[in-house]
Amino acid sequence: MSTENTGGDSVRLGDVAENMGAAYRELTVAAVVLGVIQGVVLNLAFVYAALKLGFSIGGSTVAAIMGYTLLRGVMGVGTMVENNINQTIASGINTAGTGVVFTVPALYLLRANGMEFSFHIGPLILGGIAGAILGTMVIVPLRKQMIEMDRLRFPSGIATSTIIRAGSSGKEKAILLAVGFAISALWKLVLGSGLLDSPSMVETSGFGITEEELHFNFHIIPSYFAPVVYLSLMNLAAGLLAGRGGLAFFAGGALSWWVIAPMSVGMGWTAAAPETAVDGFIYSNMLRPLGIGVLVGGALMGVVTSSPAIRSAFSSLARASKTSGSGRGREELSLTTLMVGTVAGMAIFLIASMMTPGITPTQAVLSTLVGTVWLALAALIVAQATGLTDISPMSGMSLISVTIMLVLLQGNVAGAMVVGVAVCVAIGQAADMMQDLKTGFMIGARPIKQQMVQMATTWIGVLVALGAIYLLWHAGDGGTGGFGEGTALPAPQGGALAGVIESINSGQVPIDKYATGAVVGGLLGAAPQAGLGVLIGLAMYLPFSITLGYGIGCFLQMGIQKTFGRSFCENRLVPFAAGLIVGEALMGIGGAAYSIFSRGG
Amino acid sequence: MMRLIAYALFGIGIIAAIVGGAKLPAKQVEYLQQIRPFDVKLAAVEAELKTVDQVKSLEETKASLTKSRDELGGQVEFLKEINEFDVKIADVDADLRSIDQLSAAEVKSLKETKASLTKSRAAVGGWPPEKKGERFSNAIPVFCVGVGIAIVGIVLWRNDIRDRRVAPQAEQAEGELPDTEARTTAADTAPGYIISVQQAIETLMSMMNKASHQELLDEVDKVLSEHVTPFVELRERLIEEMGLSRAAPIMLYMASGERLLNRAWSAEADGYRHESVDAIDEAAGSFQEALQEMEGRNED
Repeated sequence: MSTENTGGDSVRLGDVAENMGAAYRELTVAAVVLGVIQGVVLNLAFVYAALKLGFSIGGSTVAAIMGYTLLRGVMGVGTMVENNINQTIASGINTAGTGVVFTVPALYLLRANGMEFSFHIGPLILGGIAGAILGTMVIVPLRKQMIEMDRLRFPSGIATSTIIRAGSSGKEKAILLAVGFAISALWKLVLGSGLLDSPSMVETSGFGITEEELHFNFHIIPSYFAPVVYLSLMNLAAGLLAGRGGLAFFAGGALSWWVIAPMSVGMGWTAAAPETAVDGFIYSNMLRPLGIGVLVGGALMGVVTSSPAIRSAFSSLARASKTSGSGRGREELSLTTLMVGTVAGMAIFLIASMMTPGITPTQAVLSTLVGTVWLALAALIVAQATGLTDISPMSGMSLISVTIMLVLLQGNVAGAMVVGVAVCVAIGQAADMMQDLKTGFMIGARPIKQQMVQMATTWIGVLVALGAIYLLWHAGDGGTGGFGEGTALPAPQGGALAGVIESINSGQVPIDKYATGAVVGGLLGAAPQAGLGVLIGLAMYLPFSITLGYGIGCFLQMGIQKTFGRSFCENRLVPFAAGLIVGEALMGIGGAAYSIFSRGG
Repeated sequence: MMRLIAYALFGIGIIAAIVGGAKLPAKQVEYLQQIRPFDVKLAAVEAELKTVDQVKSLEETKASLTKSRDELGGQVEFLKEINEFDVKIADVDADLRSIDQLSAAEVKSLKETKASLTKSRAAVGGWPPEKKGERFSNAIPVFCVGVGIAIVGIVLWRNDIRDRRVAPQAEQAEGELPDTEARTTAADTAPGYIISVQQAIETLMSMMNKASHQELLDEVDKVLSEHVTPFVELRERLIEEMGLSRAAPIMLYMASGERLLNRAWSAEADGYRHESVDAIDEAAGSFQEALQEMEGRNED
């Protein structure tokens, strides 16, 4: 942190003050302190919101806006790359909380439901910290592959960089960003308020809006064609940013719902489904589990086919290249640092496993090794999916983690959950780190500085989130039961994971779907088309309403580019789409806060 | 033509494999049919129990409103506000009346029914089956055939790419095609793009001392959009022609230069001209390394 503004002379150059001789502010005390404070506040708020509502929200855009306001507006010193450091720290700490809040409540709920096992908070803390370290360590070497070679879009990363640059990108771009923001925020407000909801119309005419989705079956199109589109402008904007590159994702959804689903019905394979819920049956019993398998197989094969580029990135790290030879120091964390970090993370992981009641030393070693390998693969899958579509299949990955570990640890729920927490925190970190590195790439930040601060601060998020969950649980009647069904904090994600653990323990895992899906994913990954396996797997794993909305965005972008040209898209469509993403994200946070307070918080 | 056949085989194979994999095993279908009545009854019980939560939430709202109202009590000037609270409380009461409230005994009975149904549902046997083979459906042969066809498709697809990569070089080497008539490949055009980036950077460097703030920002934007982006768009063809291992270092140097130009833009916008100059200088180094790498690879 040696780049504090040392107060060089300031002269005017046109309309901008020139900081003559002063070091360019990047990794500064102000950015770190502000990032940590924002991260802790966002973490606490979103942990509470996730227990209340069942979903969490990334904090990068909020942190970037606050960073701009405080660093430049209040302190009058901030630079874009400094704000990038602030936002990297804040979102890293916040995201670590998401990994914890989606998993740990399940342990409390399972025990409250009568399952007999014991667990301690210590191993969970260590598991979470190990996940935070390992998630960053495993994804750093892939920055060059994902951002510089594959040029993945990371729509939220682009939105954040657009915000950071908004003040200097010219009036027109700032206006477009603001217009996109206003439209999206207003649309989200109207949708969320239920003003447009017309369930009776949907029932009578087969057309109308309910729960932010437009139904258009007109009582003609069968439900298994999934004639529903999610009316999220954020989703549409992700498609607008992806353009032609996102078409495979849409194709995967179309293949699932316009080919596979009707074929399955036609061949009488859905006889066990209730007549009114054939689509739900196809989704939960066929497409979703197959999609999880395709995701895993696709990502594994992706590693194999991309190995020359990954090797190239590793050898560049090994040479400790300075990229351009100007003597300005390292651009990335060195391979030695990454190896030391990985070994340290694994050691913490091992200690966490050994501290877990009922785990033998052999099981601890096994769960550390298998857990780390799976964690790396899951981190890669989630980072790639986020880069391609802005959507993270976190719940699917936690499900596989817990399944593998329950089998490996012979049903030891607490032991499996230590790994589950580590994996969930790690995959969140990996996706978040890559989003932030994309933002950094767009504004020219030094990646090593972002990687250092993420590694150094993200563990704080684990402690904050676990502390909050511990306190909330013990705030219940008689010092227990502070969240779960029938309380003010229903913890829907924790409840769902608890249900999954119960079904895994009774052997009801769709192994056939995972296995066949993995083979299909492997084939898709082997095709000479980057990311095909992950994109199609993700499309099968998600409801079609999301994929369809995203696909419309892709087609719109292609049409706009054909009509107005590439430059129009880069200069006008990108800031507008970024505004759409930010508007909905901020209104989502406002909606969550309103929902919490209106229900008596 | 070969590419089209490869696409068709790959597509058909993938669809067949997914369809084959999607079918549920017979034993699972049997099991799902057995548990369906329990699920229907459970859903009905849960819907009734949901009203309990609704009532609870409304009562909490009412208590909170009443508390806020009472805190204003006795102060004449706040009568209007009190009246507003009364209206809101009356609304909540109306909502509460509209719900069929369950007695404590009814709630208890519903919870017992739910527990009993859940237990009975869990007791339904048959899935997972004892024989491991029964975990897979009888559509697995379709899946296997699909996988086979898709593999053939991938092999043809990759072969076609390799042939396209080798063909122009081979024809040139055998003297069948003079240099001037050889098909223009991405590998041929890429050095030209890199050189154009370098020339644009030289122009940029030459104007650093006299350019205004906005002129410099516009010029960096211009270098990125008119010179760097065309190279970026060439990358898929470049990988196809040169192979990933040969194309990767070139593209990594180019990306590094692009990031440094982005840094130059940010530094200039933030008012740090000297940092901007350094970043452009550094970017020029990266583009030079990309060009050397490219020329080295082409000589191979």
